[in-house]
Amino acid sequence: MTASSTQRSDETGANRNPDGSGLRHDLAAGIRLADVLVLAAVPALLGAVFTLPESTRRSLAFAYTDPTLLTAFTAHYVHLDPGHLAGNVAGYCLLVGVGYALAVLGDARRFFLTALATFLLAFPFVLSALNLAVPRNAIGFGFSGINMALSGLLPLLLGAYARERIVPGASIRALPAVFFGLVGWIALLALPLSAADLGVAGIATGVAGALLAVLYASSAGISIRASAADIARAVASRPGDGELFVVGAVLVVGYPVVGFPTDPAVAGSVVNLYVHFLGFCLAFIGPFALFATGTFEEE
Amino acid sequence: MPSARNVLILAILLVAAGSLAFATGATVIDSDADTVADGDLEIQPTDDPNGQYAYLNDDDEIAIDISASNPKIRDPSFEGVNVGATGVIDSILEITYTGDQYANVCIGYPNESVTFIADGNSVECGTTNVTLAPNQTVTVGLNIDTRGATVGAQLGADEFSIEAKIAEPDDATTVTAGVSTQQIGGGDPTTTVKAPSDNRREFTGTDIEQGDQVRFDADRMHLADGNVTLEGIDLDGVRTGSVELDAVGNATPFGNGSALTAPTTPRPMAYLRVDHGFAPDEVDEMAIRFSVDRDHLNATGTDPDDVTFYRQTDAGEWAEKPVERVDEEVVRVMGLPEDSVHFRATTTDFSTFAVAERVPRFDVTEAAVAPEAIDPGDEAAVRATLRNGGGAAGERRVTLTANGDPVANRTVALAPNETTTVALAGTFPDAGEYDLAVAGADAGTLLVGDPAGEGSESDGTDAGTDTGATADENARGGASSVDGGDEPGAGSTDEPGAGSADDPTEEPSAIDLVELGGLLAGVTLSLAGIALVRRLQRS
Repeated sequence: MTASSTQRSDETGANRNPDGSGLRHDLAAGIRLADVLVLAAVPALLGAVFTLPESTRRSLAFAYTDPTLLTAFTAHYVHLDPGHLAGNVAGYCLLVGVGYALAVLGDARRFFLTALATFLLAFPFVLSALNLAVPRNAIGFGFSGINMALSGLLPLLLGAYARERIVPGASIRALPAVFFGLVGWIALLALPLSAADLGVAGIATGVAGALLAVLYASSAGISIRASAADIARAVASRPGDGELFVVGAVLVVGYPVVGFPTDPAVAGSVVNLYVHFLGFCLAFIGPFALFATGTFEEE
Repeated sequence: MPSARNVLILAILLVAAGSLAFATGATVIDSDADTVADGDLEIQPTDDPNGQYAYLNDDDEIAIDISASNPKIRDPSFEGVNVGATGVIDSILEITYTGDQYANVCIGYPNESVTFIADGNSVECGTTNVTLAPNQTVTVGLNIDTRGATVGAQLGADEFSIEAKIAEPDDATTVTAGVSTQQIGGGDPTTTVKAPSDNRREFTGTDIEQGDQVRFDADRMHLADGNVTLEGIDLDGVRTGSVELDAVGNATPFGNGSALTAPTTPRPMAYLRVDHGFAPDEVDEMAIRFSVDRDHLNATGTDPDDVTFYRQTDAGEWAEKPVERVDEEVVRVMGLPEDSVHFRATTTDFSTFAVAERVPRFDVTEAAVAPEAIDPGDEAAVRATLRNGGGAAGERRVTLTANGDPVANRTVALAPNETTTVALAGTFPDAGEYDLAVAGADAGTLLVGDPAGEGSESDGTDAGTDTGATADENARGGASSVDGGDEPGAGSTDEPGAGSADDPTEEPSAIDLVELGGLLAGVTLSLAGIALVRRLQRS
């Protein structure tokens, strides 16, 4: 990426039409068939694995009492019932679809694809290994740990997109403030709220997350109120661009609601919120370090 | 007030037999009174409407008659008390002590359906009594519970006794001295504490300056016998020149109050009612100091850390208040009785309070059997999710039953609000249909098919088809546990799988499709909102 943000904004502004056709044009120009095939390969792979006999799929799940390198990877692509598979495929399609669009329009396509490859190939090992930190007689499986990683990447993609098409010149440095706020939000969602014990921890983490977000934004010289007003004006005045930004923002805030249910116990099993949280955090922290240092600035 | 019905009538008739144990100068206040104790006690009907239930009979004995035979009741439709009724008839008669010392007065009438009460508390001999000062009067009513009584039965029709004795020297320090006045240093508030009885204190504070703290010592006022006692009440930030407080303790709920109820189902240990003669906003905070006898805690298996304190709100709800245990070193330094554990609760509002014990409460929130159909001799497992909805950690043996007979059990330990999932499995050698339950909660029905038949899932046929089992065959027969290990502490972690025995818990990384649909709906609504804003801007 060689042009300044202002220059890019002027360039994209030339393609921006009141009916949003500019966004469609830019999107169509940026999407590559190879990318789409790679993205679509994941649901196909998940579906193919699901056609295996249940005993085989169970053998591919990650048993915490008998961990192997193979199952550490395969477990994240295994589903035992169709509802579980459908939920994760739907979540993947939603996250990767919106994420890819934001990346293409935010000049972060290479960053997105690199992160996705990391999530698909390396994160299974990392998440499975970290699961061993809590010894228990259980088996872990399912793709939503990687889905949550995509959810953790989304604020970065949204920031890149906003810098390119919503608020030119917006600072990426403020994104950790969003992360702190989201961690607080997740704590409020996942931990029972009460005036005692764990409930206090949930409330305390939520409040701490909000405070950290405000403090971080202030220390970065960013006025939350002014930034919000700028974004609101830009969203309202830019058809197409505004809509995509809002969709991304709703996913950033709303996907944790899906990924961190208050009652994780479902029909004799329990949703692995630990993996969800690990995936979300790791997917933000690592890519942000690379993103903020300009490692993925595109030519 | 009981209403009359054509059926279900119960008559209560009581006649007092005066009995008293001391004799001093007797004074009869007026002629419509029954005097006992050589005239030192005077009993007469009250002037209240309920006073019509009491009268002096031909022998000048006080009688209570709540039936149509009562000569003072003119209403021809009145027939008595309904069977199955509960309630309080207060202010029926009043007892006045006319002696010149102090007297402990109680009423002897051993009857489960009728209890004599004063100020909502029982005054029956053997439970507690009321201490009367010279010329002091107590108003007595009845607490009636006729559930289980027989229609037409005559409840009562026998004598009750009013007993009194002069306060013993031990009591005299509390009762005769009765009144203690304390002033600490010049300019400090002056406090006066009256002790009319073991379970009652009247506190008065004067000479209070703006923002002062006023500290009252209750001298181990009984909240529940001598096991739970009130040590004192402290008022912080008092903004009035004088304050008055009346405190009454009781082991059971007060006559017109409700028992302690809360989502965590605490066990009530004692009740305390505090009436105050000042506006709530004239005092910042109140600290209630109470103690519980160590032997009583041991006898009831109560962990001192589980002792808590509740306040009843104006709406009748019970709200837990902050309570802290007084450090043992502080107890020693302060010279407090070391045979008790001391607590200090704080509240900003005053009303009725309860000392209670936090207890565990295990709820089965979900239980399902898998598979739902098996062949005889095969194993079926029930996976049950349990939650400790109580206020204290605890453990409980959870039993899987088939048609009411135990099959397997586990001991589960949970902290408050903690949830765990346990697997309980058993083999079922006999064909039949089994209703499964975990800790009494329905866990579904298990079909055990005839090996020669077609009912089992493993046969690849419809698991719900008739297995051909007869009613006798359906009776629980020979199911055996394969999960019967009783392992204390199982499930004590927050990971639901920790409590299962052989089968590992499934921990899918999953999201719910319905919630995902909700997220999409949120996206749609947001887009619609933007469109609406744009339209408004253009117009």
